[in-house]
Amino acid sequence: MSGELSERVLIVPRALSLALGSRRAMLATSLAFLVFTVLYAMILPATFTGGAIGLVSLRFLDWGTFALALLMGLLLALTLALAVYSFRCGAGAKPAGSALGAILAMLPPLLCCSPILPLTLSAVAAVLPAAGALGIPVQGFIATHESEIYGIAAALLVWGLYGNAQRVLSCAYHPRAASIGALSESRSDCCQADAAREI
Amino acid sequence: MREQQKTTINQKLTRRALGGFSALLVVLAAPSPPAWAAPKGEMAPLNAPAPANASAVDAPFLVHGKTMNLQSFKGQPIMLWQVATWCKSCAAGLKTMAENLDLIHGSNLKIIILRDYQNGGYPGEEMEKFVAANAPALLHDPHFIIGEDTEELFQRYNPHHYVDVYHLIGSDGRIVAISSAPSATFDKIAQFIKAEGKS
Repeated sequence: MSGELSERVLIVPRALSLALGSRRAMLATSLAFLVFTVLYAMILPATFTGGAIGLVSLRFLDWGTFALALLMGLLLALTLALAVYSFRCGAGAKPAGSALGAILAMLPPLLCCSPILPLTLSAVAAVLPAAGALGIPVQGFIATHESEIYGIAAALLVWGLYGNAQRVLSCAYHPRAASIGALSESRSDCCQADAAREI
Repeated sequence: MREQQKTTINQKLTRRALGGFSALLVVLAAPSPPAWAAPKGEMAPLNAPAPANASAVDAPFLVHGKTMNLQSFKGQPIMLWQVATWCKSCAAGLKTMAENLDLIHGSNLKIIILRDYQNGGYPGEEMEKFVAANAPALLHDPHFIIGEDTEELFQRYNPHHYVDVYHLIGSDGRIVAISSAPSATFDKIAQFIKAEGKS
């Protein structure tokens, strides 16, 4: 049981050693890490500035938020490196988990106390009056459950990283099977779309 | 020959998808346009201009259960700030106020901080506790009045139900600016203090 678990955990470093094998990949990933970390370091403290991002939000960056920005930046950069490798290998990539995690981490700073949600919902309320009443409860929930939302975002990013690591390894050790798998997946998507059209 | 063609097509698709994924990540990581708005001019909620020639209308509010009226402060510059006690930017704004007490003490500005009617519609702590936790110095400062919105004031001064919004009302009774998040926009309040002259 623990052996299986350690096998699973080791998938990520093994895949990373392949994906970051070249100097170019290492440099690109470092650059991506830097860019994502700076962006998150500016976005995450915007919860204290009513959604204003930039130097003004950087003033509210504390050690906890900086650590979170580092974690998010690292997970996104590594996922990107794995995605690049598996794409080159022909196995495709799984951006869903990472993209969802990346979006989720931005909800508290952008929506908590800024006018974005009230303005959006008041526009929607013109068509759907019930939507107007949702603004404050949603903002209140986001503001009071920030840590949980960041936890889920980080978990989704880890899940995205793991999924892409699996693809990298299957592609590296069974390149043909991986590319056939990717093809059959896209084929099944297309068939599902066709089926839906028929209905 | 067919295999080569397949590989070339796969590589092209891979590059496009990879480009799309990177672009998606960059877009997700980039802040929304209104959030970039610098704390200048008439940011409100983030940048709505103050209504031309709009006079501040009278409205009641509650302080320690007693009803007071905006009219009672006629002839004095007022900052009417509506907050929710679960709002992070409101908490940061209180701290910013406490940090700038010297400037405020040198003016005759009256800062009326009111909890949104029914806390904006989401539960949270009492106003006194909220101020005591974030900026206790404001509780007994003669420049500050801490209280609660009435429904009438909330509807008149916060019809969009923003979480964190303030009105700067000149001594002539005109609304000079409507904005939010003093933590990010205190320079606007400082300008207002200078324009209104010192006591």
